[in-house]
Amino acid sequence: MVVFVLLIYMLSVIGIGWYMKSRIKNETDFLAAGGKLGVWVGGATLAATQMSAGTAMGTVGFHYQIGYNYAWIWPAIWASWVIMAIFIAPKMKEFFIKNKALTIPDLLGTRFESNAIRVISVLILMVCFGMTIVAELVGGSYLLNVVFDVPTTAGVLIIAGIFIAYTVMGGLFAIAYTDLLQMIVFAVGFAIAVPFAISKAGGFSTMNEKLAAIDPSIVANGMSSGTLTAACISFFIMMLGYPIIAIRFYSIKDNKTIRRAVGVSFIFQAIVAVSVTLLGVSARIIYPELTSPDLASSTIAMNLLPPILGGLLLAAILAAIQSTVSAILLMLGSGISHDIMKQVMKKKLNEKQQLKITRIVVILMGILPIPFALNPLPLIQQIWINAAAMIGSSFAVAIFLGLFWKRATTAGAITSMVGGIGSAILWLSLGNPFGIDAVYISVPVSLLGMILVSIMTKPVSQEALKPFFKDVDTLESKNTFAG
Amino acid sequence: MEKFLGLSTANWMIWVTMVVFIIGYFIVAEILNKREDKK
Repeated sequence: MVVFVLLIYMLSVIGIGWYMKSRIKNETDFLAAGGKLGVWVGGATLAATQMSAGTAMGTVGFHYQIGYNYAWIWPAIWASWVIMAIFIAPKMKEFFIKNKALTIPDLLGTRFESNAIRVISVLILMVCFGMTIVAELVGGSYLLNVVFDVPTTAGVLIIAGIFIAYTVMGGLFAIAYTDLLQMIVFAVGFAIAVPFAISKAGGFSTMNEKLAAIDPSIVANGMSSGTLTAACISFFIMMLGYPIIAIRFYSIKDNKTIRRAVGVSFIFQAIVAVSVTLLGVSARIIYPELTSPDLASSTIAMNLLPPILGGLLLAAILAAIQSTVSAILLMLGSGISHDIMKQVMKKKLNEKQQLKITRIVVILMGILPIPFALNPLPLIQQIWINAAAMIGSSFAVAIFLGLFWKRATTAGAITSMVGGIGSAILWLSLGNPFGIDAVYISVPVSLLGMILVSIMTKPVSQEALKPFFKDVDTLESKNTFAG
Repeated sequence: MEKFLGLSTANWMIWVTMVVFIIGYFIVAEILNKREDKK
C-alpha cells in the first residue's frame, strides 16, 4: 500500500509536468512560469523551494540528534524573507521586467557592468548548488533504500534520472503548479504523522522526560548558542541572495501578491517546522538505534504510520527533494544558456535554441554531481548549512549593497564575492579553526571587501545605475543642466 | 531551567516567536499593500 500511494503521487506529478509542457512557449515561461502566479500557488512554490531533503530528512535528523532548539533557524530564515519581500524583490522584479532579465548573474552583471561578475556568479552557483544536489540525491537514495531496499548507489542513479527527466520536460511551469500539490502533501503528511509519533513515544510530557533522561540538553540547549547562531546567520544570508527564491518572486504576478504569497508560505513553513521538530525528537525515543539520524523520517513513514499515511509522508519527502532538485537544475541551466552563452559569449539564439540549450545543460548539471553522491558524506543538514554559508557569503552583500548603495563598484563586488566564498571554503576545509564557524569569518570578509574596495575604486557609470535607482535620471539631468 | 510539559521555556519561545512573527508580518504586509493602493 505504501508503494502504491507513493507511485500514484509520482505519476500525478509527472502527469502535471507533461500537461504543463504544452503551456511553455518561451524562456520566460520555462524559467519563470510566465510571471503570472497568484497568492496560493506563489506561496506554495516559495515554501516548496524552501523544503528539501535538507528539511524532510536532514532537519528531522538534526532534531533527532540535537533536540528542539535547532528550530530557531526558521525565524532566522523568515526574517531574511521579509527583507527580500519588502525591500529586495520589488527592485529585482522591476529590473527583471524592464530588462527582460531572468537571473541573479544577469542582475549583478548589469549593475556592475561586468561580464566577469556574470561568469563568477555562475561558477559560484555551480559549486554551491552542486553540493546541495549531492545532499538531495543522497536523501532520495536513503528513501528508496528504506522503502524498496534499493542499494544506495542504484538509488542515487534512479532519483537523478527521474528528476532530470521531469525538469527537462516541464520547466518552472510544471514545478510551480506541482508545488501547490507538493506543499499540501508535505504539510499534511508531516502534520498527520506527528500525533502518531508522539503517542508512540508516550505522549508529549513523557516523551520530553525520556529525552531529558537520555540527554538533558535535548529539551534545552541541544545546539550550543555559538553554533546555532552561526547556522541562523548562514541561512539568513543565504536567503538574502538566494537565486531560486529570486526567480520565484519574479514568477509571482506583482508586488502585492508577492507580499501575501510570502505570508502564505510562512504558514506552510510553520506547519512543517513544528512537525519536523516533533518527528525528530519523538524518533529519538521510538528508534534510538538508527544507523543515521537522516533515516528518522523515512523510518517513521515505513514502520510507524498506517500504510496510506506512511505512503503520504514518503511522497512528501520525495516531493521536497524533487522540487528542490528541479529548481536548482533550472537555475544552473539558465546560468549557462542565458548568462554565459547569450550575455557573455553574445551568441545569437532564438527562443527555441535557448530553451534547447537550457534543457541540455539541465541534463548535464544533473549528471555531474552523481559521482560525489556515491561517496560517504556528512549529515544532509550539515551539507546544507555549509552550502548556505558559502552561497550567502558570495551573493548577499553584492546583491543588497548593489541594489541600495550607488557607490558599490565592480571591483568591490568581485572582491566581496570571491573573498566571501574563498574564505568560507578555506575556513570549512580547515575544520573551523578555534571553534569559530566559517560564517563568522566569511561574512565580514565579504562585507569589508565590498565597502573598502568600492571606496578605493572608480564608481560604475550612471547608465549602469539607472535600472536600479530612480533618482539617477534626475541627478543626471540636473548635472547636465548645471553643466 | 524552567520547564512546561517537560520542555524548557526557552524552547517554547520558538513557537511563540513563530506565531507572533507570522501575525506581525501579515499586518505589515497589508499596511504596505494599502499604502501602495492609495498611490
